[in-house]
Amino acid sequence: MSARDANLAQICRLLYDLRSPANREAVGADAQAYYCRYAIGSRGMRLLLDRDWQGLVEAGVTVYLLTKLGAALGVSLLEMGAAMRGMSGEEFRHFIEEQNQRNLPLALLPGVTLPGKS
Amino acid sequence: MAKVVAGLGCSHAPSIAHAYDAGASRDPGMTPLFDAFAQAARWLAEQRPDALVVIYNDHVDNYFFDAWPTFAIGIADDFQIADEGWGPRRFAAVPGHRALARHIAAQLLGWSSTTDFSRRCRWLTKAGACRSCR
Repeated sequence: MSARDANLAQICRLLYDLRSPANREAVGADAQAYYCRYAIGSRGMRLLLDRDWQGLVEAGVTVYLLTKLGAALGVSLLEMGAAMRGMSGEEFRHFIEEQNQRNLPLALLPGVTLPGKS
Repeated sequence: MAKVVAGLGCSHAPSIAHAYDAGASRDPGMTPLFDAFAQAARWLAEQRPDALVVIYNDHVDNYFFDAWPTFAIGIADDFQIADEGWGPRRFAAVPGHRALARHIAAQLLGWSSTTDFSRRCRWLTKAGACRSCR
């Protein structure tokens, strides 16, 4: 196992351990102190302290673990998505809505009518 | 041989649970989906199945990557709602069916060598999937 892989495993473990309310409190009170409990390397520390969601995904962290940190820090999945696309929250909501409109005709079951349309 | 009544599926979108928890399931954009849930729940109740086999993905709640099963059959008296970071969602624990789970596990063991069995599987992630079995 390379050092990089070892760091990734520790980043994942750190996030997995946020299932415990005590650890969520700890990361909320002093994130860096909580991160220091794990051998995540300087790059891992940087990614976490910067809340670099895109960088964490590229490092190999699954979104199911990112949402555990988001929950502890009060960052929603929408905010993460916006950051990943380099958009503001408002731009990202607009982007999502455009996709909804585009996909709506494909998403309806036969016999179901759209709200406001007969 | 058991009679398979039906297979019901649901898309895996986080907005579904958020809409439900926020009381927004009657919002115009959500009604087609939640109406379909209600319709499926009524239909399922009429069928009176003896058991439900609930299939879901683990959101890294039961398992960690040091031991990650491709498939696992949960054998437990009940399945608690997982705490994914916001505290467990407010659903009752889902009753397990040990005898059926053991039976399926035993049959699969004879049929294939690729199934994992676990008594560590205690947390149910997608409460939406099991609302109809309460």
